[in-house]
Amino acid sequence: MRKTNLFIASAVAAALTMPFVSLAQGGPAPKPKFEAQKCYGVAKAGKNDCQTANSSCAGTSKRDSQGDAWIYMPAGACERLVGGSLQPKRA
Amino acid sequence: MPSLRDLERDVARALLGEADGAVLASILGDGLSPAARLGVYRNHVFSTLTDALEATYPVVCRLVDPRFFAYAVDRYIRACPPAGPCLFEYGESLPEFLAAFPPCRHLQYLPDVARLEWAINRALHAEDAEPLDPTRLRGLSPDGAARLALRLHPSASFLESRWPVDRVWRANQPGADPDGIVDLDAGGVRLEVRRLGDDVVFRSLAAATYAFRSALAAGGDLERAVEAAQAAGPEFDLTQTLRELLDDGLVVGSSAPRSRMGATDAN
Repeated sequence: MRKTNLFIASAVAAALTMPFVSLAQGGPAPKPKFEAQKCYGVAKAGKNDCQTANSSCAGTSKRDSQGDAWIYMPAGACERLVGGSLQPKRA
Repeated sequence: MPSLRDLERDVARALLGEADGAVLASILGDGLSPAARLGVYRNHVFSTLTDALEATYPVVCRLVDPRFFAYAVDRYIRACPPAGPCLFEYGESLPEFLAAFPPCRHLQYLPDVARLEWAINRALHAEDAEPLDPTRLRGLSPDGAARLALRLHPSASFLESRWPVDRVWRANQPGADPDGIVDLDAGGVRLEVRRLGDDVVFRSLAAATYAFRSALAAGGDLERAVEAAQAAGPEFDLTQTLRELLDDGLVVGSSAPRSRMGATDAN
């Protein structure tokens, strides 16, 4: 048994004996788990998650609330937004 | 008639600037010449990728001027086109490209500023992970403790530079003091970049702490991390350093040797 290993093991043990107070605040917030729907017509320009009829990539819509650009939203939230639609609208 | 695979390869090449007659023969111009139609797509590829790189490397872009940046990334896109469809994953090798790009090779700090921006981008998009419950590390044998590998949060990365790249980065943020002066000879930094909640944060670490954490991040076990830390700073305190690592919530997993008591260890 190597001396270093004993040193490491006792340091691990010592580190674990102190009470863990800050851990609750230290970690990342839990990832929200929600059912997502595509919501059309509410994305800010350039913030869409999809391709549209006239652009081919996410992040390329040209204006706010473009009717054929969608973003993911929690299920049920889209219908409650002004201009939100679960189907694409005329751009 | 080319196969779909050949056609896709030829179109990809043509988009990156090497159009030949064969691929043009496969393009329906629809009111434009086939070459002009291809040009529409080429323009779209380059403007999209340039925007994506500018979004990932805003400080580099600001340091060299957007016009030079556009020129440099045009060359980069041709040399290193994306390997996948996600724009935020594109550009990891830009720092190395800039280090070797003759027109800006004299800006020696530039590649390290780019590495910091890539680390920030990587941290922003890394998956989430819950911190390890530290009590799971109890009861290790001495051999088990020495050979313990601690897995750090996927957003964490470690970056060492001869230049004060953290100050360069801060001085080039929106709202920074426009008259602020960064002394490039102020000395190097050892940075830890990670996500905290939804924000990416970075801070400089003491030499021993940096050596310890970056050895773990590279997959080294505790013994190796301790050796690295002791070589970096003789005043290294393992208990304290380990405790800070756990308190920071950076440890998200461990691979203890299979036999926790070390009784049947073959090694």
